[in-house]
Amino acid sequence: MFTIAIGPMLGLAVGQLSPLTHQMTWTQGLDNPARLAEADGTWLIADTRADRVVRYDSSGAYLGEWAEPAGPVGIAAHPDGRIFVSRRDDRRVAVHDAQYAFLGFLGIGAVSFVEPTDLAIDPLTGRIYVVDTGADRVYAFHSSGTLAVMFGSCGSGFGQFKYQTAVAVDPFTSRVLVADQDNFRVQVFDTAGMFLFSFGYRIKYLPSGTSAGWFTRTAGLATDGAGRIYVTDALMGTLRIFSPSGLELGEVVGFGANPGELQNPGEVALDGSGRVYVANANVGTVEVYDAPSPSMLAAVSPEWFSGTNETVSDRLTSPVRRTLPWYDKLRRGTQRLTEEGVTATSSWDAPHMLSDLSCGRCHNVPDQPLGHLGTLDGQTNLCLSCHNGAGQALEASLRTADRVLISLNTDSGGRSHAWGVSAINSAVGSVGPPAGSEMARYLSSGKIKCATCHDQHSQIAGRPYLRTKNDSGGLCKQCHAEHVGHTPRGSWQPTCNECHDAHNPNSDNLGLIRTDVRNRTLGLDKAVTLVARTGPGSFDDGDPAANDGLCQVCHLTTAYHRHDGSGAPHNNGQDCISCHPHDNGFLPVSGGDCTSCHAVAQDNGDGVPVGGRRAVVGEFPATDAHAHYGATLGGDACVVCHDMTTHQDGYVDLLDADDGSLYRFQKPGDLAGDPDVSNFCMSCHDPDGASRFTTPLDPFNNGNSPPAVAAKFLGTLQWDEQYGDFCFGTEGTLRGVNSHHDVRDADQAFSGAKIECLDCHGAHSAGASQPLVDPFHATQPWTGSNNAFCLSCHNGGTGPLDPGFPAGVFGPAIDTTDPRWASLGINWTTTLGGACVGGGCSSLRGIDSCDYVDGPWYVDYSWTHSAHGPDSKRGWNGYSGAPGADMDCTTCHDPHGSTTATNPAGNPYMIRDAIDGTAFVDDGTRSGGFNGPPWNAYGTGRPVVVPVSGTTVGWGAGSGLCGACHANWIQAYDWHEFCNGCQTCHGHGMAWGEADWVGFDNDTPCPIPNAASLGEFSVPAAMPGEPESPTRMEPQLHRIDRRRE
Amino acid sequence: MARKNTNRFRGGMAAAMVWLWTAGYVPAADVTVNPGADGTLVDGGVFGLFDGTADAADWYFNESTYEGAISLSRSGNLLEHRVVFEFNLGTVTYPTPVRAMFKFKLRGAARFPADPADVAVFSYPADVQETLTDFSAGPAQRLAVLSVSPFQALTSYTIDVSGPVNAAITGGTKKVGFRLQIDPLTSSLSSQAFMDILESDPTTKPSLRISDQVAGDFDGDRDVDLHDLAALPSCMRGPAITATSACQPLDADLDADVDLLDYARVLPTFTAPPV
Repeated sequence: MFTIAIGPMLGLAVGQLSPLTHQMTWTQGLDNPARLAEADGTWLIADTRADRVVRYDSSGAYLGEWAEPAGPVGIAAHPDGRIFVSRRDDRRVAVHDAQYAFLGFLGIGAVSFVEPTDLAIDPLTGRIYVVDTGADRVYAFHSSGTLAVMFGSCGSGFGQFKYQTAVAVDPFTSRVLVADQDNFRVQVFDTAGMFLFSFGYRIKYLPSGTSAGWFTRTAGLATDGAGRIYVTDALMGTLRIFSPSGLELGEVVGFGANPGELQNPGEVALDGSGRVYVANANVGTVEVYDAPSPSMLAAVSPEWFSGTNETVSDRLTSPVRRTLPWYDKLRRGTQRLTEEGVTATSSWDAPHMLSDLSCGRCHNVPDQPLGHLGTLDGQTNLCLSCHNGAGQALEASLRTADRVLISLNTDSGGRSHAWGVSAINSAVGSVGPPAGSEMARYLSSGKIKCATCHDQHSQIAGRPYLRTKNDSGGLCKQCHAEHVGHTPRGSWQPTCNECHDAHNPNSDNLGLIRTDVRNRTLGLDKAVTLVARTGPGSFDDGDPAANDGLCQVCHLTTAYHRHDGSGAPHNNGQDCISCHPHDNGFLPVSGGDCTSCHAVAQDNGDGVPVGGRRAVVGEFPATDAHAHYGATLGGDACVVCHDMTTHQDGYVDLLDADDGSLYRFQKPGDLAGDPDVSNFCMSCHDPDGASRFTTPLDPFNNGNSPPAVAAKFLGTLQWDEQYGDFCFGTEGTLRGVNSHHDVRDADQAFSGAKIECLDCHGAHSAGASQPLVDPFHATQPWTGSNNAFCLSCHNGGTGPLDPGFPAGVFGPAIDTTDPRWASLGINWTTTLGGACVGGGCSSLRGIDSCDYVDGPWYVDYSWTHSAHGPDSKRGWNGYSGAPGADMDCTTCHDPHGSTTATNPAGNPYMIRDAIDGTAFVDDGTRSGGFNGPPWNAYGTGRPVVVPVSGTTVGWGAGSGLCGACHANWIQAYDWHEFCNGCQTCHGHGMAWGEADWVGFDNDTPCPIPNAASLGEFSVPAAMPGEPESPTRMEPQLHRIDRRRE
Repeated sequence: MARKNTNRFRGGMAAAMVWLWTAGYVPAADVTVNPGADGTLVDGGVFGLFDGTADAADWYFNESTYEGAISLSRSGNLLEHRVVFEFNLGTVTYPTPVRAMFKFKLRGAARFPADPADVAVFSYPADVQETLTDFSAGPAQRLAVLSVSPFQALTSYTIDVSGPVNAAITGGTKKVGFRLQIDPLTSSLSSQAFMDILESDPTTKPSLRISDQVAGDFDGDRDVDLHDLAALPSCMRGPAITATSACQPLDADLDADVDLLDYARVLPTFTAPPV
């Protein structure tokens, strides 16, 4: 230790002064008020960051403002009415008259200011004092503007300065007081600039229990009528009063965020009555206080203190100090610099040392107690005390009002990244830094502070002061992990910093967007205005003169919004990121946002894709959401299915709901073989749903589960199921099929049939209430009845060779000579009597195959007359009491097919696995005669298993289909007991006025069962009022032959 | 030939009283005596408000990243800054006469317009209890007046204080003080100079160097004759080049080198050897 000097401790403890009484807070028109001056009973406030001078009257009424370009950082009013304003940016001191008309500049020809800051006027002599912070000098000009005195040089000796920030003149003694910030003192000079004395210390001498004269960041000075000196401290957020000789009387305003408390004070000034005004710079207010009581001031004994003259090197080399956390921290920081390849010639090479700063600038606060520096706001104030509008670190000003980053999503601005708020903020896509990361260590109760992102001791090459390198947005993505950044379109990928500036006090842009963004291809900066999301000042508002849209800075060859303002018009003045969201690399995605673009078709002009953008909005039902059962069009509904990685390349990209594999096509039909689009559909519509999501059975997060239908498409659509059922003929099915709507390519290859999910369902239009699309207009929702939908295909067309199916849909096209049939035990010659082999029926098409147009399976031919249609027997007047409920095809048929765990082979003919017959009534037991109304035998709801035995189908079996409603069918006619193959005689096409069975009149008897197996039975007589009894049905082959005749 | 003095400085080793330049090392020919650590100012500015009352208001202790800056100023008759340095020469018996050099650095005031500052150096019988009363004590001897120009950089000054030091030794007080202030006789009432003391630069610390050798007495016979001058050419290596131990007697100004300044001091003392 060099030496120790001990001085006397006199008086009472500091702090006996009562706090000043807060009168009012001025806020109107203030952004970053730095300096104050009283002029003719009004107050002029230099609002540095806003480039203006604001005027108030003494009552706090806002009188208006004047523009003052180039960053006004000092202001003073001359007794003759002139107003002097020092300007940071052009390094001049402007002179205005009392009406603020510009008169000229001070000191022209005499001095060249380096960084003029604070100003003061000696009311006795009219001298104008100018603090030139950059030149470490104070100038005094005569009232005429000629130079009178200049004093000061760089250093820490008396009469020297290190970042002097404020000047004041004692109006009674003309003594000049200068706040010598980085020497932690106030120096006092006479009018000749001769040093008189100074007061203030860097070290807070806690061991002695006092902080008298301890300065951390002297910011503002004033004197009262008794020569007492008022000093604001920007870091400690205090206003203190000193005796005329520099002995501390006490603190009268303290740190805090409440009205009247200070956070980052700048100028202090007094009016003639002693009322005190303080510019609370970074809070954006001016606080006004009552004058301190003279009696109170007189009662306080001043205090001064002299302590150890500890130096920086002492702190670093002292064994005791080496144990202190901050020392280790600095050492670690230096070590890290070396590890990262940055040469540190000494520990002083750490940042904040490079600009002639010293450790003591910040490390002048003893370890305990920390006071407000132990709080988040206090720690931030440590940074803000320099990084404020008029502070030493002008380039990184923050303001309390700016502390919360308001994202583009909320239409509000902000000039600084968030601090003092939670690091987790979904509004800006922030999930907070990873647990255990260095950034996470520097949160305060989960809230962001400067040190969260900044390491004040770190000097990472190119990115000083950051906790981690921000190449490619590495630091930003610690929290904003979802912001994937801009999708590269060329040889380089924009990083966060290319567009964003975390702290730009001079920007009015939203979302911390830079005011100048560089086009790296051209190597040019381009001014950017983004003060609104839409309309003027938005991304690209279409103003060719401004040409200052953000996106168009870099886009040189895109169709729209090019760098030079050219390109086709494209949603000018619209919110780009509503379609091109940040979280998707600015590729257009996302639900309703997608539809805002996909509302109209558009050819992008570059030929990729040929058709440009497809309009899909019209495909969505107005009253129903997307096909996927209740999903809304907003949010991320679209990207549940669509992959946007290569959006706009002309292809539709779908992601498999299970494994995320890609289905890529321009038209669904481009995928001609499995996996095709139907496979994509079934990847979700299966029992495990969309397993690649966290909620597989609720992929749209709307509580709706995708119907599992994929398992029903089993088997091969082959000619096993012949469309008829004959007790005594060749029954069709050998049960190789569950669904005639089989979408599997392997099955289709065998059967020759082809149908896909999208032939019935719209990718966008299918909704919970209407899942169907017009089969002939794939993008138009089906608006007809369900039955009409079925019959739009199942209408027979013009014949077997032209069933009238939609394009791309085919019925079975079986080569009857295919040897595989033989392996299945099918002999087409025998089965069909050769009718369909050759002779124009070499292939079977559609449901009318083999000319069954007059059979019960040819549904459209007779549907309106069918037993279950409105014109069927249900409509016969003899049944007039029957409920009029019409039956949908889907009452009995499942359009996807049939299979269950207990009935894995499924029901033939796509009969449902369960039937709800409760809405339908049987016509009662008619055994022995017609019972007539009332119709009170309702059907039941139950599982249905239609048994198949060989070629015999048990429609009327106990678990069969028909019995679900016709419980008493056996009793209807005596001979029913011999046959449960209901469709042998009954089919779709029976009208009430016709026979119950196909193709015969009522005189034709029902086919007689094989006597050997079933026994004899007689044809009953027609019942009164009932159509004639059917005659015995001929064998199938006979009937077929007959039709051909 | 005179007796060659081999009884080198035997300064008392009371640490609080006498500082050796390097602890544990006894110089062969001379010693640097730093201001005593018993309260003598070394790193504090002194603000004397000559209002007739010596009190705390007259004092100011500077604390900054620098170790000390001392203002020497005078503004009219009401304000004066000056500084004192008191040295305790210890209890040892010095062979007298000794040579003593008081060294310090001053800089000019950084202001314009300003007059040159005439800084007077006074010596007085010190009490090594440096107090405010030292300011009012009458000067024992006005040793020198140094002109320090405005904006003058920190400049080294060496004052031969052999007289007061020998007086202190022979007088038995073994304490001597030096006071720097703006010359009361100067015509300017607004002049100022500063003494900056920087720990990072030990040469800025005021020091008192004492040698019991006769300046220029190369052969140790306590005179300066042709035998001694004959050694000058080989010892004169220039400023700031440390002289060898053999050449130290020729270091007249006790700045550790032998240069023209030493020659200038030695030459007037040349005498013919006794016949």
